[in-house]
Amino acid sequence: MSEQNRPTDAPPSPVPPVPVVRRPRWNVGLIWLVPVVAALIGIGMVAHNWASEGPSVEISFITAEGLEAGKTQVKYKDVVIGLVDSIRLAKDRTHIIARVKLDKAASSFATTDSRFWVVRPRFGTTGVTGIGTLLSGAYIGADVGVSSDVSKSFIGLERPPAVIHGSPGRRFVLRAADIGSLDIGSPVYYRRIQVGRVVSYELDKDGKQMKVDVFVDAPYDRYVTVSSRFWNASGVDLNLDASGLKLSTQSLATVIAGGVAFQSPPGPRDATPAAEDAEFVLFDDLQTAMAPPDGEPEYLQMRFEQSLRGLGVGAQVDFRGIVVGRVVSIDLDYEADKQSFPLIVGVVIYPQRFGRAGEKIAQLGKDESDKNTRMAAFVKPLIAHGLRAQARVGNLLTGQLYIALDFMPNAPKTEFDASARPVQMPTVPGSFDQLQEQMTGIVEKLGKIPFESIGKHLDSTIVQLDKTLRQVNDSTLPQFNATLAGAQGTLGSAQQAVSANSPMQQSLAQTLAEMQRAARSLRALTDYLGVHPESLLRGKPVDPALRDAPEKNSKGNPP
Amino acid sequence: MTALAPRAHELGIVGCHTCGSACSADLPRCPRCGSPLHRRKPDSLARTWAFLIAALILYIPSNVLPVMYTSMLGRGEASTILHGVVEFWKSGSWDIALLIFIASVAVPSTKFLVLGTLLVTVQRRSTWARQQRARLYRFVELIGYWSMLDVVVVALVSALVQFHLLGTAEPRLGIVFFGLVVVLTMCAAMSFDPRLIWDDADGSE
Amino acid sequence: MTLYPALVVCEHCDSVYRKHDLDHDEVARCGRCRAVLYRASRLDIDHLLALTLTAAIVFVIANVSPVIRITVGGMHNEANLLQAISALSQGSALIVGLVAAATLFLVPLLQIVLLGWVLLFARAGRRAPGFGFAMRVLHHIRPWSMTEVFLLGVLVAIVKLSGMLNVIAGPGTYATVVLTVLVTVIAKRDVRILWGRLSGDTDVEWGT
Repeated sequence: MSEQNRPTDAPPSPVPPVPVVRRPRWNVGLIWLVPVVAALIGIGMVAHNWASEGPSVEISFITAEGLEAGKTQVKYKDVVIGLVDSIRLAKDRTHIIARVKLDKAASSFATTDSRFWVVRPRFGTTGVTGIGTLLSGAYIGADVGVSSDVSKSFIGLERPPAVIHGSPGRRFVLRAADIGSLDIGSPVYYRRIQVGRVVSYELDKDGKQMKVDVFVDAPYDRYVTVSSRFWNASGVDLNLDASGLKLSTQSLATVIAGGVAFQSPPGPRDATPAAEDAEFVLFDDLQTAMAPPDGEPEYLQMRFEQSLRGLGVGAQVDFRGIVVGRVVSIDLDYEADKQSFPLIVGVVIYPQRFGRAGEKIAQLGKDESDKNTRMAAFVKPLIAHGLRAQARVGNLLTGQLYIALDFMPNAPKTEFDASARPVQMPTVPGSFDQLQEQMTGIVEKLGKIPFESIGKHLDSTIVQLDKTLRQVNDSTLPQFNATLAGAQGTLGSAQQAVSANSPMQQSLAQTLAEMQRAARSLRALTDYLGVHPESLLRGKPVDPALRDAPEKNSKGNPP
Repeated sequence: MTALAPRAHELGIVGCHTCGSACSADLPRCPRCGSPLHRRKPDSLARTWAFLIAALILYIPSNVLPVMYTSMLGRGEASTILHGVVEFWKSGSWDIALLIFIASVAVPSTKFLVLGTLLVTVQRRSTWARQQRARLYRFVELIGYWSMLDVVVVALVSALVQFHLLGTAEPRLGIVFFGLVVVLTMCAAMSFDPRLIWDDADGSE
Repeated sequence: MTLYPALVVCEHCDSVYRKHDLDHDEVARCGRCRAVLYRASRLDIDHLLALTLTAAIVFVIANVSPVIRITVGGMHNEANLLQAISALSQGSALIVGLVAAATLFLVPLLQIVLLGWVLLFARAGRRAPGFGFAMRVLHHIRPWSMTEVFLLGVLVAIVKLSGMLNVIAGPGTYATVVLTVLVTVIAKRDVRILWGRLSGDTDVEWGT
């Protein structure tokens, strides 16, 4: 084949010298730069990764729903700050532990008071949140606190916190008897706009009250003043009164989800903004919230002999139309000596509801330390003046009763035992019973009226009247007729005197004509005098027409 | 080239498939690399036919069945290979459309045609255009594996487009058949012995 | 007389030729079928080993860093070769996933590892332990190495997705480009010359 290129085996006659062969001192070929460069790039990438790698933290959640190792991100204010590295079950299998690699820039999130929670779509009564995660999948939300103590393990919140750390606004504590329909995230309203939300709630240690934390955003937090009142704005407030049916809610959302509203009571109030974490009472509704504060209640006991059907616990105690307290107990008693079953009604009175009167009362008995003694000392003279308690009908249709405190001037005198505890308030029978008594009294009085003699007297009086009338008819009436005829004649002559063609009328007309002429000549005189006032002094000229003409000529044509 | 080189079997030599060394024909194994020595690839024609027919059968479902399922905002759509080519063409990127068409349609079809032709001509001991046929075989060997392109694209797209409701992509059964077609045609090409093209020539010479 | 190192047999038509030293850029072709018999090796073992080492480093980078990163509306996702293969391997597509794993990941990895192993010893002029096995495996897996197909697939996927989404080619793409070049240079090249160079057995010369 290609044989011609091969060198011939026969050596040429002059032997050529061997070239200088030397090993290069630097044996490593340039080709090795290539892997070195590749290695440098690789190391550079690893170093960059390592440098940008932040701390790893472990967050425990109840469930790993929506979380995905290597995919689920950790976000703070929608900025990615880390990635879920792995998810594993805790040893006791009660929760899961998500290992999160935070970015270098987010290493401040590995501190003790950071909070983490899973953001997934939530359809709650307060609205729909996390709808974006429907498309993108769940992520872990993060919130950083102020602490600088490093922590590597966290307990994830099961629901997003209502307030992110550092949000402008203030936190307040509300004390309520129960939580109602409130929940974390329930809105807080001020004049029907949402200004905050419920952050958390917990039961008091003794289990008697709820402590509800609310957060009010700036700038609305300054409307929470020391005199603000909070009330539970949940549900619908249906009010039927003289002005008609009134239905009020804070918003449609609160009907379902509940909410808290606050406002200052009307009138001049202390408008100092409330301090952070100030405590308020959470009232049941707007009305109780706006009602003046009740203060310490005073306890009174009453004793009724008659049936109290229609009186219930909670019924109002009324003093001159003002509700000052309520019934707290109704008990049946038995008195063996009288063989009677009196009813013992316990009521509480709120002295502050007496307004100014209450303040004065408080002034009167302030040197007494014991509440009951003070009360007894105060009511004793009033009872002497007729202060009594009475069960009255509040509603004729339903027969509901209330307790009225009032002065009964004609009440029977009773002994007031000032040492009895609790203070006993004497009673008078109820208004219905009293009405019955009064009616009986009226009927008795009516019976005493001497209807028979009155009838007889009336009869004789009528006979007398008849006689008198007959006398008038017989004597007085004819005389009266004659007088009337005389009067008629006088009137007829008077009429003649003023008729149109009577002499008196004619002479009157002549006199008037004279007067008219006199007036005319008088006018001519005054006119003349207006033009020639000098005539008053010189007298009237003889022939004014002749003298006037030459005079005019001489004046009109001067020489 | 003035004269043609002698054939190996005329010299009693067998070329090792693995290390390419020339060995004596009487050896069962290559003394250098230890691989078994064959004068020709064993059962070359039968194996090639088998692979080719299997590939041809699978080629039908691979084109009829969808290779990928994509859903965008809840609206799902399954697309076949040709459907993807047409969509690329319509959207204006005719170059990509052409590329996918060549890799996914033209290459497998060419392989079927070329290998079929080679098999038929070899079986008929045809002496027609041997050099061209040998070149054709080398061409088929060269382009064969580029058909895997579609498999790679489907894999990448389904790994990337994972946005839950917003959009997802996942492979469908068609891509399995298509992948198998590629593997089978490659096997067919490998089991074909191009030396068979020349075998009869020496006999006639 | 069992082995004839001075002879070369055409794989495609069984023609026998005598070996002939080639200058640079020269290619020995078969006179009968025009197939390539052998080429002049431009790279020596040193160069090959350096490139194999480079390929190993680049292979790691290409498979660790994301190849494509897509973003849409604040969300983002990225994938590398292995994630793509695992996405393909779900459900009924497991078979094709295995094929992809073999051709795109396993075969190139084996090529790099075995070649590096063989060349490391070859540089010292020795046969590596398991040299024969490694060389045989290298020969058999060579047609199944599809790194360049993966590269083309990445490019097509980028074009395909860029119509609807924001697509960024990650560092893995660039690493794949380099890897494709390197694997083509080191593994597609006929490594059979190592058989001859490191022949420790008795070669029999074909008499001229």
